[in-house]
Amino acid sequence: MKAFNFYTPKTLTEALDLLNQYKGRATVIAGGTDVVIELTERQRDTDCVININKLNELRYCKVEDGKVKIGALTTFTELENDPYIRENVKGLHSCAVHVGSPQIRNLGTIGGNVVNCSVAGDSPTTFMALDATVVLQSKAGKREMKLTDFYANCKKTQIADDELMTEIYFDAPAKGIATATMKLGKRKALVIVVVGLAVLVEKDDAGNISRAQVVIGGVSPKPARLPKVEEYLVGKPVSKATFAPCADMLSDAVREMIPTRASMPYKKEGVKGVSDKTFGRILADFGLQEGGR
Amino acid sequence: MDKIKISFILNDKPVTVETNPNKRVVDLLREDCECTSVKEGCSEGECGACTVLVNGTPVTSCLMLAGQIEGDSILTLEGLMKDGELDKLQTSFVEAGAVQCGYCTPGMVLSAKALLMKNPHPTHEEIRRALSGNLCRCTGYTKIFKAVDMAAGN
Amino acid sequence: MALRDLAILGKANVKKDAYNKITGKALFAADLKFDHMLYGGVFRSTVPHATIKRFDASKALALPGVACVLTSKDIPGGNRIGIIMKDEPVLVDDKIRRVGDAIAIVAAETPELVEEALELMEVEYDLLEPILSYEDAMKEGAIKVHGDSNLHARKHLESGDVDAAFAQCDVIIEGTYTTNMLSHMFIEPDAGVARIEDGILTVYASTQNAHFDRGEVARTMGLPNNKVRVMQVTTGGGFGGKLDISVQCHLALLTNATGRPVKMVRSRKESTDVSAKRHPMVMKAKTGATKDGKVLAVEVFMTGDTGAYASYGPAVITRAVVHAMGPYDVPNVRIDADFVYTNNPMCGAFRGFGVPQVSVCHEGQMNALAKALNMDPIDLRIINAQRPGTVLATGQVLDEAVGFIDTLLEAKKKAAEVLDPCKENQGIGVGCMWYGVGNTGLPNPAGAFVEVLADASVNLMVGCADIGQGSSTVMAAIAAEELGLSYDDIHVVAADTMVTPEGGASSASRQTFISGNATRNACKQAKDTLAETASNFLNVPKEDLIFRDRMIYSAKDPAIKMTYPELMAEMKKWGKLAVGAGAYNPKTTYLDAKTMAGIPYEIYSYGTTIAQVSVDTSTGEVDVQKLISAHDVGQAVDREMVEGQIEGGMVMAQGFAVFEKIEFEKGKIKNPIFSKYLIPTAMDSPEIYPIIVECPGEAGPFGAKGVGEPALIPGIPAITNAVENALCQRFFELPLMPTEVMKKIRS
Repeated sequence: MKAFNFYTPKTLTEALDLLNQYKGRATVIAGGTDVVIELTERQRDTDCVININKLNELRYCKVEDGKVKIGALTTFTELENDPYIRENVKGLHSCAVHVGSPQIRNLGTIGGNVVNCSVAGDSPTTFMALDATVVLQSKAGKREMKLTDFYANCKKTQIADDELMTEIYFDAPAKGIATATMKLGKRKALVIVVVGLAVLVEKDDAGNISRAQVVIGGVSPKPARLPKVEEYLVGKPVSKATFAPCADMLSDAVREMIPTRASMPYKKEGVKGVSDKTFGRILADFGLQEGGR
Repeated sequence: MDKIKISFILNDKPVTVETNPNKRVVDLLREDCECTSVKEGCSEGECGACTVLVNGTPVTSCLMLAGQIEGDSILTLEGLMKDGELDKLQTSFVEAGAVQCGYCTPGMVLSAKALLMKNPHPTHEEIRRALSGNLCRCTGYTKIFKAVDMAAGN
Repeated sequence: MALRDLAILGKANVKKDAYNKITGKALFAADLKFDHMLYGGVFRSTVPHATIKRFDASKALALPGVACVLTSKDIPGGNRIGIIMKDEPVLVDDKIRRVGDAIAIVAAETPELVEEALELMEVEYDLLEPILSYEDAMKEGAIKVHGDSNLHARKHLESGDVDAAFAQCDVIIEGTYTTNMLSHMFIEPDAGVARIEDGILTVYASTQNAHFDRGEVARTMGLPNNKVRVMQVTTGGGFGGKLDISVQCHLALLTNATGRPVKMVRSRKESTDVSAKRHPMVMKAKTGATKDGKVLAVEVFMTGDTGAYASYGPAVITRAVVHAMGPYDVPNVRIDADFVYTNNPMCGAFRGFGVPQVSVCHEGQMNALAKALNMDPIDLRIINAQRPGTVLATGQVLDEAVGFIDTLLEAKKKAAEVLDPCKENQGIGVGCMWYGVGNTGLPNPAGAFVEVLADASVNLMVGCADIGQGSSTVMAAIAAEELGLSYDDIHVVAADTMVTPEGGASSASRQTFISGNATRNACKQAKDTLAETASNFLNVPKEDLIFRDRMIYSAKDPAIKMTYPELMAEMKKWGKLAVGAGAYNPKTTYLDAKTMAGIPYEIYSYGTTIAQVSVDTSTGEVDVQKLISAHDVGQAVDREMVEGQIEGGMVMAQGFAVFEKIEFEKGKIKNPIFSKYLIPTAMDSPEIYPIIVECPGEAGPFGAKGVGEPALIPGIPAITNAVENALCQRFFELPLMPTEVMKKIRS
C-alpha cells in the first residue's frame, strides 16, 4: 500500500470540509470493500483517505413523508434486518440478502455500492427499479438526482470531487406495488452477478398494470432500464400470461446490448429463467401465485 | 505520511497502537498485536481466513484500514479461550474432526461464534449461510457444520 | 466391519495438530518472525516466450532499504530444478518460457519496499512466438520450448488384440472428453522463511516434501545436503500444489546474499499464477462390449498440455495411461498418450495425477454403455469389475486386496436408503475409480525412526509432511498399535530434514501405506529388543508375547504379564535401548519402456460414488444434492479422518464437475483469485454420505491403503453422469457450467 494520511471526521460537516480541502486528492472510505482492495494492489494514488465510517448520522433506514430514506452508511446487513424493508420492499430485501458473504454484508454500505457502481454491484439495479433518488452533499450545499441521471452520460457517476453521497430515497411502496429482484451467479454464495434483474410493478384497482419499472444488471457497465418491456407491461392484467413474453423480450435486450460479448449466448438464455423467476416473485408478492425459488 | 494512534479493545483488553495508516486491520493485528491466528488468504475479502469480530460482527480484516477500528472491540481466535478453558466451539471443532489444514479454522470458528452469540440454536440453513463467507478446501464443510451443531447443543 | 482385532486403528483419535490449530497457536510460514528479518519478492515475466534484451534493477537498488537484487548470475550452484526433470530455472537465464517466470529476486526491509522495488525494475524482451496449445506444439517446424522437441512424453500401453476384440463387440461407444486446467486453491498461499542457523542454511517452508526441497536448495546453493535444513512448518493445504519448489530456493539465495533471515509470502495471485496446475486433457475413447455387458476392448488416445515445465507431468501421463480403462477387467486394451510442452502455465500434480481426468472418460463411457444396453449402471460395473486374480493390462495379477465390488454394493445399498425418486430434471449418476497407491513403477521409499523412552512415552520421527490430511496422527496410531501403547504416548516429529529420515512426497496417497509401513517397521525393530527383555523377565517365548494397551502379556496365559513402565525399568536395568529405524519401499517394478508392462503399484484403492443432482433448465444451474461415496481403504486408521478425506474430496469433485476452470489467454491466467476462480462454499456443499469399506490384504500397515486422492475421483464422473441422466444428454467437456448446460438444453 502506498503512503497516505488518514482522517476520521466525527461529523458530516467535518467530512465535507476535508473533501473540500483535498478536492480530487482524497479517497473516501466507508465499508472499504472496494477501496481497500485498490489500495492494497497499489492501484490508487491518494494524498489522504477520509474514513466516514464513524458518521453514525448517515446510518439509518426510515420512512418519512411517504419516502423510504436510507442513509449512505447503512450496511447490507442492516438493510436485510430492517423489518419495514423486509415486509414492504421485498425486492430490496432480497437484494441485500444475496450480497457477497456475511462479512461483506457487514462491511459494505449502500452508499459505497451505489457510488462505486461496479458491474457486479448488487444494489444499483434494485434502486434503479425503485426509481430512487440520491442525495449529494458538499460544503456548498445539497443536491438531489435520480439514480438514472446519476449514472447517465459519464464514465462512473455524476458525483463531484467535493461531494459525499449521504442518502438514497424512493417512494414508499403503496398498496398495489410489488418489487422483486434476482441474480444469476455461478454458485450459491459469494456470487458475482452474471445477470441481475429488478422489477417494480404497480397495479390498479382493476388488476391491471399501471406502472412497470424493469432494470437489468450485469450486462452493461451500469444497470439499464428497459422501456420496451415496461411499455409492453403497462395496461395489461397482472398475470402469469402477461409476464411470460418478458423472458424473450429480455433475451432480445441482452442480445442488443452485448451483441459481440463472449458471454452473450449464455446471458441471453439465462436471463429467461431469471425473468420467469423474478416475475414469479412479483405474482407471489401480489399473493397471486407461487413464485420461483 | 503521518502516523496514527489507534485505541481499541483487543480480546477484552484495551490497547493503543501507533502505526502507519497505510495498513489494513489484518496487518495491524498480525504485525503490531501478535495476533497471528488472523490469516491472510486472498486480500480481497473472498476467502474469509482473516475474519475477526468487530463489536461482535464478523468482517474480513483485509478489507478494513487499521484506522477504522478506533474505539471498536475486536475479537480474534486468541481471545476466545476464557480462563484457560476452550470455548465450546473450539472443543466441538476438535471433536467433530472439523480441523484439517487449519488455515481457514480461525476465521471459520469466529464466524460460527458470531452466529451462536446472536442465534444460540441455528438451523442447518442458518449455519450454512453464516459460514458462506469462509472458504475451506479440505473438509467439504460437513464436519464443520457438525461442530457448530454440537456447540449449539442441537 | 473391521476384520482385524486392533486396539487403536479404526477408531477416532484427536488429531495431533488439532489443539494448536484451534487455539491459533499453530505457526504457519507467514507467521514466523526473526530479528533483523528482511522480506523478499520476485520480479516476474509478463510474456510467455521471450529472451531478455535488457534487465535493469539500478533504480530498485538505489531505493533506501533495498538489501539486494539477484539474477541468475548470482546463483552459486546449479540453476535447474524440477521434481522429475530438471528443466525449470530458479532464475531465468537462457529464455522466458511462461508468464510468471522468475527474472530477479529482491530483499528489502519491509514488504512495501519490496513492492516498490519491483515496480522500479525494468525489462525489455525480444519476443519469441509462443506455443499456446497442443496443436501449436506439434506443428511441424514449431519453435521449441525446450531442447529439440515439444513432445514432452509419449506413452503406449497395449494388451490383448484390440482390433480383433472390437470386431466381436455388439456395441461400441465412442466419445471425446475434455477436462480443463484447474487450480488447487489451497487456502494458505505459498510462504517460507530462510535463515542461517549455526552455519546451516535453514528453510522453513509450507511444503509437501521437505526432503525434496532440501536437495533442490542444496544444488542451487552448491552445498552438501547436510548443510541445508528444510523444516516443514504448519502447511495450509497442498493437494499437490506444494510439491514443486515455490519460495525455497529464492529464500536461500537471498538469505545467503544478505546474511539475514528473509521471509517470502506469495499473494494469492502470484501463488495461483506460478504454482503447478491440473493438466487439461483431451481423451478420445472407444469402448466395445457384448450385448450382455462384458467390456471386451478399450482404446484411448489422450493428449495433455504440461505447460512450460515438466513438474510432475511425467508421473501424470504414466498414471493416466495405466488407469485409463478404469477399475475394470478389460482383456484388450490400447492406450496412447502424448503430453507436450507449451508456453502455458506449468501443470503438475493435483490430487489424483491424471486419474480424475481419465475417470471422466471411462465413467462417461460406462454411463453411455449402460444406457445403450439398457442395463443398471451398478450391475454393468459389477460384471466388469476388477477382482482378486484379475490380470491388468500391465500384466500384473491382483491379489486378494480388491474391494471394488464391495464399494459398488455398499453405495447401492445406501442409495436405496437415502436417495429420493427422481423428479423432472433430477438425475442419479454412478462414478467409479481405482487408484494405485504410491509412485508409478518407481522406487519411492520412506523411513522412520522411533525411540521408546524410559517412561514409555515415544518419539517418532517421520519424513512425511502432514499438510492437514493427518499423516502424523496416522503414524502415531500405527506406532501405538504396533508397540501396544496408547495413541497419546506417541509424539511425532515430521518433515525436518535434520531430524527425520527421507519420507518422500505427501502425494500419490502414499504416506499411510509407505511411511505407515516404515513406521511399523521401525516400531517392530524397537519392539524386538523390548520383547527380548520381556521374554526373559516373564519367561515366555518372544513369539508368544502380546503388546497391547500398555501391557505385555502371554498369549497363552494373559495372567503372565507386565506393564510398560515395568518393562522400561527392566530395559534400563540391562542397559538396553528401545530404538528402531524402519524403511519401506513398495514392491513395484520399473515399467517396460515400450509396452509399459510391469508392476506399477503394490496396492490399489477403489471407490464408488452415487450422485443425485437437480438441474434448473431455465438457467442451466446444476444443484448437486446428495453424494454417497464408498471407499475401499483396506483398513481405516482413523475413521473420522477417512470420512473427512471423503467429504473434502467430494466437495472438490463438485468444484471440478460444475464450477472450476482456469481461464488463460496467451499463457496468462485470467482468473487467479478467489473472486474469479470459484470453489464451492458452505452453501454449495451437498449432503454427503461417506462409506468406509475394509477389504482384506496385508501389504499396507495393518492392511491400510491410501484414500487422499481416491476420495476425490469418483465424485467427478458421478456428478457429470447424474447430469447426463437428468437431461438425457451426453456431456463431453467439464466443468458443466450453466453456459454449457444451457447450450445442451437449447440444442
